[in-house]
Amino acid sequence: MMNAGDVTIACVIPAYGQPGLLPEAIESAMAQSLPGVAAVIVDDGCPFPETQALARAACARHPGRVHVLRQPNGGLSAARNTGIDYALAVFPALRAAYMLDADNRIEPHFLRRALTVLEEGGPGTGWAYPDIDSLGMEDCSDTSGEFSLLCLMQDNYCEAGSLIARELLETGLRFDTSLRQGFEDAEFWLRAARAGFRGRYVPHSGFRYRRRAESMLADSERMRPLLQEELRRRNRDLWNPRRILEMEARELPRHALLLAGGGPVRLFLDPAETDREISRDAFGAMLGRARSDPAAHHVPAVVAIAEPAALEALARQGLLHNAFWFASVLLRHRRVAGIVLDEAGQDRIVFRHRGGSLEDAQLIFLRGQDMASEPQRLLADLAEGDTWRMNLFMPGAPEATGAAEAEARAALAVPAEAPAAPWRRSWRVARSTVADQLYASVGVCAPWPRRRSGRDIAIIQPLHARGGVERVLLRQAEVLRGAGWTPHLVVTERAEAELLPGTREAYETINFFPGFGPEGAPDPEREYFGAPTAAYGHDPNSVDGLGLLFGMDAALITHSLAGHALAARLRRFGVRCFMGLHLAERGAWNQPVGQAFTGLAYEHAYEGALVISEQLRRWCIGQGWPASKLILVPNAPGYESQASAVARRVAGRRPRALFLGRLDAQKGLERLSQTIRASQDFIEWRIAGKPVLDGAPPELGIEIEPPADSAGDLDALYSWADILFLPSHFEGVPLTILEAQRLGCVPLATDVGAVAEIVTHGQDGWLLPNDGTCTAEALSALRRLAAEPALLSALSAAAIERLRGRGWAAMMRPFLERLETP
Amino acid sequence: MTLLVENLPAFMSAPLSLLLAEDAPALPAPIPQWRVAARDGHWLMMAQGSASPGPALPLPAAPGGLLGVIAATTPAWLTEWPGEAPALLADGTALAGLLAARLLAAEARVGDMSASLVALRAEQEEARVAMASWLRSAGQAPPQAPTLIHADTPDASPVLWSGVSTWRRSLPSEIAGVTALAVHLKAVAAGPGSVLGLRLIAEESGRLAGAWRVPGEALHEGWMTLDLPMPAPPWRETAAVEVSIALAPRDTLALSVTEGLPALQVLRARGGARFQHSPWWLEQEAGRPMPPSGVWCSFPDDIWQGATRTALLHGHGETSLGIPSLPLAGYDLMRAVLRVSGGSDVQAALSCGGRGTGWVDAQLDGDIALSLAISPEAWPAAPVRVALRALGSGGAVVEWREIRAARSSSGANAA
Repeated sequence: MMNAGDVTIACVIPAYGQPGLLPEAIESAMAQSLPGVAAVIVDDGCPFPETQALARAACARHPGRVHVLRQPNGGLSAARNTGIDYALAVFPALRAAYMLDADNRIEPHFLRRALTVLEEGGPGTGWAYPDIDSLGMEDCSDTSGEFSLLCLMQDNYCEAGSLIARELLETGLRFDTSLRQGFEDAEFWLRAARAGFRGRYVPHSGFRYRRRAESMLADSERMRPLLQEELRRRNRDLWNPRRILEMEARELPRHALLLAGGGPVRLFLDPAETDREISRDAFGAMLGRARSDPAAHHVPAVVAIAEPAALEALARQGLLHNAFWFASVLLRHRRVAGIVLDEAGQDRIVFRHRGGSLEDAQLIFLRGQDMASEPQRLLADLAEGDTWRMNLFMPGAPEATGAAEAEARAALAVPAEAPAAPWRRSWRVARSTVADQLYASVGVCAPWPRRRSGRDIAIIQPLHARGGVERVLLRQAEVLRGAGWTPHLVVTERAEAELLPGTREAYETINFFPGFGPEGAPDPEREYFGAPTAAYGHDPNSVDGLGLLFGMDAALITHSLAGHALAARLRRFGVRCFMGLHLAERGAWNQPVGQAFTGLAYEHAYEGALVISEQLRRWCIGQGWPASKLILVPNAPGYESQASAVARRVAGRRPRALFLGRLDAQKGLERLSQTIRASQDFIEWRIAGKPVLDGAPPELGIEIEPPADSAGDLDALYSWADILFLPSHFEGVPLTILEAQRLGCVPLATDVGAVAEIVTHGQDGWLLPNDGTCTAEALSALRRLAAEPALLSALSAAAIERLRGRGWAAMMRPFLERLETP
Repeated sequence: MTLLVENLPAFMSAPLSLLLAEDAPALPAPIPQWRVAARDGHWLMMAQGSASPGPALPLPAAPGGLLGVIAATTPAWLTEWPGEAPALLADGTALAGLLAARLLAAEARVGDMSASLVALRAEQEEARVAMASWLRSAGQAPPQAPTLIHADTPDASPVLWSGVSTWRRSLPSEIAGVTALAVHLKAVAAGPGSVLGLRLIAEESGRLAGAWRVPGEALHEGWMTLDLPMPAPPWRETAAVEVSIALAPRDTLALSVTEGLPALQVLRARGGARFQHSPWWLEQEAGRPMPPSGVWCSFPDDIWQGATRTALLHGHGETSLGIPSLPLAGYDLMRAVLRVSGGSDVQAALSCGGRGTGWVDAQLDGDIALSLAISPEAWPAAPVRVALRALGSGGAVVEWREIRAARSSSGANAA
């Protein structure tokens, strides 16, 4: 007779409709070599009286070891829960409970081995799970390897027939009684893992699972897609790609890095961090294990072989994360990829990628599982140039040495020694692909390999040249950084960027979209009132873009079609998306065009929009934007000035006029040209800028100076000039006007966009009509200012006064407040 | 009021039990009885006759062994009963009726079980007959060459042992179909007082699939192969091997190792496709006969040490083939096949253990097939000799093609 106080393991056996098989389950529990095993049979309202009779017979045969409970039918989960509650209540020395289905069996040493594994696992070990050896339809399935929650999410490999620690059960965790179609075990393990517990594999356990042509399992398998969706729904926080990223870093690091020249191998998700360092020998053993059993043993999906100088150069330019992200993308196209760094001068980053040799690559990326399984094939790829090559032109690129390729060849030349594979059937996918499959299941590819800071914000732009919008965003990024946010520059539609002074300091990283899809292309079939919308939204490559951005906490998307296309999906992943709006433009027929109109097609996808002027705010409200979604962030000067503001005194000399900016048609170049030609005798002119959109520079009659970027150059220009001339056809809130005013340079500008919000005609500047009289009016104004130095001086002083205290920190306050509000 | 049970585990694990209402008399029957009474604002259920109440727990579900409640009227606490309420029994007579019904039902079940058992046994006997028949017919075919499925590379430095040692290791191989194990001995200096033991175990269930005991004088350097009489059963389990060494005081044995464990090879054959004589097989321990009756078994390669495998026969000449020691314990039939090439009119006579076949002619295909009933005098091992003679003037080359033995299932050897 066994006393309740002697019971250490309770085998909970739900009984319903299996009276013929029940005794096998009971007897296999009673035959355990571990002492202190009791059976708790929960008759789940079984309609067959044999069940009760057989259970009673087992009570008589094993005094004190078989406990029988009968309850109205509630399903498998309810019966297990009843048995668990009972065992916890009546067995004071209980160490664990084992879930044994009435038609399954366990071999005599099962519980002894499982308990050893469970208790040797240390705190937090919640359950011990077996291989699955089927009875009847014979099949032996391997579940070996370190426990991984990611693998469990990908496919449940923890049988319900697992030994569950008392510690876990005492948290109150029970099987979900509403899941009566199956997968209740998977759901239980997922909740246990969310509660901080983990499973542990029991080798050679001897679990016998009865597999028949028709069973509850067969029913569940038919409903697998539905049930899996249900699992995801109930555990939405787990299937969030950000959570997957955290788990990937912890469980299945994406990258291994071998430095050319030797040294230990770094394993990590985030190339700026090292999660673990192992010796080359240990890495060889890792490859060997993954070769022999990819499902049980992880090898990083991407093995990088790099020259240290290349990594340092990429890190200096904030390109390290983008380079490793590209590795995941490029390795989808070839087994081997690489990056060749080339010098591009101080202010440009350009990339191109295509197939080609990697002889001179400073970084080489290999598919990790292929490196483990078929290194000779990768070696042949390298030798034959069947690889994907990216040329990255950037400042400070180190010289090519060929060391990375030599290191790659050496690493591939000696195949890893593989231990014997398990004899059981391996049915799970390779561990190196698990995370990617989970990302794919939520519509994401190639996650950006950076651990979240909790305050990462992507500043997303279609291109990055030296335009006003780039300057505005740079200043905004600086303010965000000062407020504790980490801005990241993302360029979506061009494979190049021109860096402004301060770009590297303001942005933590610089990132480009990959160039495999139609990132900047409109979809002609889906215009919104004639405004273009993004073709990228329907393109399969958009999942890469999502991968790059889902880890952000917020995104400010300005004029990027690809960015708009992703906004709604990003918001579902918890990224707070804001649209940046600068102006509503006019086309060649004076028709309304531009980003503000495209933005209307995506308004619903955004939490809010930053507008730079009151005029634009009202325009947006008129177009249907909810007023409370609009955040007014007026522009401020585009750089930090070192010069002193001085009101102009031009007596005794010709006034000096300056045009500064893009030499594109929008800027009214024909007006500029005519005005210069007609005023050169009484105005001294300088032009600084270059065409960005429209090709060759125009003929203006005077020498064109290169664009000024640095604060010093800009200060020198604005300090030199008395008048800033800006005869644009359309504008938003031009930074040049604000910058000029700040230093006492009087703006003479067309009354377009929100210019009137920053220039009061005749007080601190001069407004011109945006029509056929513009040039005549401009000449008239210039003549008057030349003739009346006192007027110019007064306008200059008023301009200085107007700009006093107008800085980006103040302008950005409403947006920062919005960001800080959950 | 909550229904509490004192010693709940005893109540739930009782194969039979009876509840008594507060005012119901206890029954003089060998059935555990529990009385329910109001106490301290609860209903308390206690074993009848229990002196003082111990710790009590709420009743979580109905117990499996409960017969019913002896009560004149429905007790109030039955409203607290979890699930379907138990039967109300007015007194012992009602209980007797219930028990009688249970007894009749149990007897009907026993009848059903007996009939089922008979059918199952008949089916099992037919399966046994079919299996035995299949084994015999499978044993007629030439043995399948085994496949190496696991091979350790012995470390450069073997481990020198003395005294008694045991190792056990799980192999990355399934036990089903394992037909031979080999252990690598680097150096041997052992006599009859020493023993090397091997056991092949199904790791999950702990079942034994093979056991050998090799005396010291039979140990030799290199891979020492131990055959199973027939491939291991189709158990879907992991193969584990236990190696034990018991050495006499001055004996030593250098066992090759890999990562500190004995270096092993595992060979597999299709089930029923390889029957092999295994000289050191422990039939009693392994639980399976050696050799299987009615099945022609091959011999291990080491029988050919010192044997005359080929003979050149001149015209009108005589010569012989011989095996110095053939392990024949348990066998009572022997079959040898010789291949004759380059000649004709060759006859052969097989003799072993005092028995012989007499002269046998070559068949049309040139082979000579010889069968001999083995005398127990030839057990456990005896030399085998084949006398050869050429009746004509042409010479011939004669060689062993096969020698196998079988244990007769019909006792034909006695004749």
